Amino acid sequence: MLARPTFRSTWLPLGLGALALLVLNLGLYTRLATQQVASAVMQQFSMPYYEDFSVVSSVPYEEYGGDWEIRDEMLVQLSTSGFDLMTFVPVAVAPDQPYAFETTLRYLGGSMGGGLMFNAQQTTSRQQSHMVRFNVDAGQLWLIYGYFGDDSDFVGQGSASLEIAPDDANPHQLRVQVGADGYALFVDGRPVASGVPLVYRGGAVGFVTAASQVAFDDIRIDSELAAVESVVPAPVEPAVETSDIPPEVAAPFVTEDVVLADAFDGSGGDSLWRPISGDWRTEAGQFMQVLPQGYDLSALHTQPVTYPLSLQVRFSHLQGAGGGLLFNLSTPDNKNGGHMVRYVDTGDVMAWGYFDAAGVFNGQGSASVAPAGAAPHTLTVRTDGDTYAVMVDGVMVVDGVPVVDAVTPGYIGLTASQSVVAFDEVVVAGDTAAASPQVSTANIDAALASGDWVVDNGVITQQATESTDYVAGTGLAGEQFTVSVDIKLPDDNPDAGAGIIFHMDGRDDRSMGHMVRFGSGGQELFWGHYDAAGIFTGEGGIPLNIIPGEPQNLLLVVYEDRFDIQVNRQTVVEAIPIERGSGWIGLLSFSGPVTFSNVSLQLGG
Amino acid sequence: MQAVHTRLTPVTSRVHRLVERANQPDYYWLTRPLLAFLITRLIVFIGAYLAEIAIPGITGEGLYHVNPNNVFLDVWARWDSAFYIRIVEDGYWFVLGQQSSVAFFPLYPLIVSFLAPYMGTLAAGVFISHVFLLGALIFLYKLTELEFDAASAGRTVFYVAAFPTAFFFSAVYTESTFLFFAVSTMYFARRQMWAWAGVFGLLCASSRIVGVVIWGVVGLEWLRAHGWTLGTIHKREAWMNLFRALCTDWLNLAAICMIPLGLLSYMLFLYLQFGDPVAFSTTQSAWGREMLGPWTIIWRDVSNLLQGDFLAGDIWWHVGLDLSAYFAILFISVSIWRRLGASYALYAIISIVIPSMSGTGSLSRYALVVFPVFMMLGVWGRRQWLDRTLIIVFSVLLGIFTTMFVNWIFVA
Repeated sequence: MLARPTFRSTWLPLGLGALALLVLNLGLYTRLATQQVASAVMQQFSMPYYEDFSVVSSVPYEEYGGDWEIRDEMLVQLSTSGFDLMTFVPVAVAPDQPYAFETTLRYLGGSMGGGLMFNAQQTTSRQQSHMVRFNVDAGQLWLIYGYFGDDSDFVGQGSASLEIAPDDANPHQLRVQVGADGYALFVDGRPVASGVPLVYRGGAVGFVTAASQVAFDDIRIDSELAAVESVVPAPVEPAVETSDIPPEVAAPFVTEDVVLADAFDGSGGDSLWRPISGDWRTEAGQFMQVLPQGYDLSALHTQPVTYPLSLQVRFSHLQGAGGGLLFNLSTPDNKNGGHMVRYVDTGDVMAWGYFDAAGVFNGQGSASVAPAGAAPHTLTVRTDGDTYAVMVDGVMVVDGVPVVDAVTPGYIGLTASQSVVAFDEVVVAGDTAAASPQVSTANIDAALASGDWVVDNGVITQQATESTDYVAGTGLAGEQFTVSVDIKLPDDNPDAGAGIIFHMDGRDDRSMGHMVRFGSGGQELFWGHYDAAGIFTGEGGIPLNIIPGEPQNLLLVVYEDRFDIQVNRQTVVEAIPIERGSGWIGLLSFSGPVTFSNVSLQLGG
Repeated sequence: MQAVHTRLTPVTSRVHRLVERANQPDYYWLTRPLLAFLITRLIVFIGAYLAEIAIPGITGEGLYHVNPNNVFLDVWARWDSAFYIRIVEDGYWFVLGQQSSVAFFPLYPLIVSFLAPYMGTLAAGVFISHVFLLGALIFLYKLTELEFDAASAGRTVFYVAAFPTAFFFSAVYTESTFLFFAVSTMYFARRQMWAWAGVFGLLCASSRIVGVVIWGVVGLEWLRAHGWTLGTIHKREAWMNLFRALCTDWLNLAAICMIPLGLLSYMLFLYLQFGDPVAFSTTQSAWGREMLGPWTIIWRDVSNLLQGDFLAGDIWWHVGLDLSAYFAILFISVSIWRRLGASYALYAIISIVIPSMSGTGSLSRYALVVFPVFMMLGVWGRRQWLDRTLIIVFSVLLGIFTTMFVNWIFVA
């Protein structure tokens, strides 16, 4: 039935198959096996090394991306379209050799991103090397520094803002001074950072650009330079600091009462946690972020807290590592401007820093800690609003880190990056006196609110005149509180009304909210609630006789299961039942124009 | 003047004769795939080049440019290309919880690594992708001609080369390589050249995880060649035929059993290097993939898609694309089963269902290599309206998606 095996039909392909299998396996174990890259630098130059490019006409270094040329007696990188474009000086520094490496940089075009590579373990990739370079962010020039790890990903060790214009075309000297265990950075002779730990020792040095044309000149690599200037003054910005774990046990909390606690068992009001990114679920007494991929996936607590405070979070990693906390947030729906402390992806480093107004994270430091693993850990931040300390499992990691743009009252949050994290407990302790912060401003977002809202010098006006309800969230939320506002109704619109809505489902979403407002130009006061679809159901009302055109105070005292209404400091209704325990607070206008002023919120039952 | 004319005449006539010969049906197996290759590569190369230089690109950390000084090459290294390039340059790595290169099978980077020292990794990657694409189109033409006719074969190769995500055939991705070995394996199996099918199948199984599916496909073809099919499973004669085949044709069966060695070699390597023979599966979670089964995943993504606001454009558009590819393949698989047999249909279904068990992401790219679907489209394309519709829709979308891919917008 079938043909007899022949050379062409059977033996040749079988032989080729065996050969293919052999090549595949040989290739796997030779060409594609994980390469050992340590000490791969071919020494071509030796220290001391000086180059001003007055003689050489072609680039004498090993290029790794970019368009490097010698122009006008300078080393110039011309491409503005790539990151991490490098050239390495093949000078092999011994691992225990202190040295200094400096150059002058001149910004030519693009977005200033020139800098230095040092202690590079090879000259053919960025893998396992240190980097310091300029970086423009939100119109500000920064010096960022860190290292490219075993997987070539950049791990920031810190950053410092510089008082240099981002487009300053004048030459600036950048120097890195490498010691036995750490390095220091100088810009124009001024210290910017010191004591930054070395991850890789010895190797080559080089130059790097990111999305910029940069000219390098007057290169010096010298061990004498390091010896002469080995006494490094304290950095200008103590914020830029990295430390190992000192064997110091944190002092217990004193003079503080618990002002916010949530064990995620339902008693703490889990609806006060507002996920802003990621996939957050409350399961079996844990608040979990379950997306294993993504950075800074966060949920924020909508109750404000004030300084001083101690924020303690207990959590465990179910997959990956990257759990942590947020504090000093100005609003409970955005992490921009807030501080963050969390594990980095490797699980054995704790990093801290802050998000700028554009949401870009700026590291203030990092430290090695015990590997996170799957065990529960307690992460604590203690802060008085000026500086903060970080503790992991009761051990001090860092102290005295500045709080950038402190906001009080502010908000806290939980975060996870590249990991599935289960949070067991959150406890905020602070001064009893400050436990019920008074918030005297409403953060109206006209883009989110319905109607036509204008905020001018603390006075909030809803200008739309159509006969319908308009809602604007204040950015405030709570469980039990007293909220007060002065309302001025128009004297030429007998239909106009205004009031307060609370326990809303979303910041500007009236669903599930309870509402109290003046109606009919001040001739009545009524209240009721909205259902999940935003449909209003009235629950009661009383006649009033207030004068339009003059401010009238409306004050609500909200308890766990009821609320009271005061008009001009006189209680008019008491113990109106409420169905929902917490939520967002907003202002409400029916027709207009209506003005609101002196919005204040006092937390506490 | 006369002298020039005299000298030109033989050249032009020679070219004319060459064109005429090339247009003979005997050479269709080469000219039709070559034409599809040249036309579609022209579209993607011009589209990619213009997209890169004319549209302000997104910049930022992680949005790399391997060779910013050569736009023609640089545009073909995006997204997962970095994994292949780093495998070639630095070898495999595996870090638990992080997106690791072990997810990418070794054949393509291994072949690139042989050329990389001479032309650079990026150029070698692009070159290899194109060589295998042309080879895949030729084998696909011959396979379709074997199953149907030359006209269907001509349409088939054009459809696959112009498919909206066919720009991946030019990129530093493994799509071309995999398609080449999958189609050639099937071709040799249908020609009952079992040992050749075994060799090409072995390489197919070392180029992608679903490559091992080809083992079952070739096995089914071997059974069919010996009178045993899923339709005759209840007949005693079929089992008698199978028994006889096991006695007389065991050598070819052994050759077919070489196919999983490609996968097993890689698993052994992973075990010895990283202690995890299925590290390619373990690392999938770092991409947000989790094994939930096809229906849970599909239902989740369909629900999410339907909750979007189509009019406002607030939808996960590429989920829509992936789901369209998924359902189209399942739908067409019914016809594949009836016209081409169980082996083709199972290949099509399993090729799309396996990746969908952990997520629908990139299904429109995985659809590229489900060649039986394109064979059926090639047959149906004899209706002129369908042929023109497919050509226009595919070509337009190919240009758009190429532009997006080049500019770091995730397509598949």
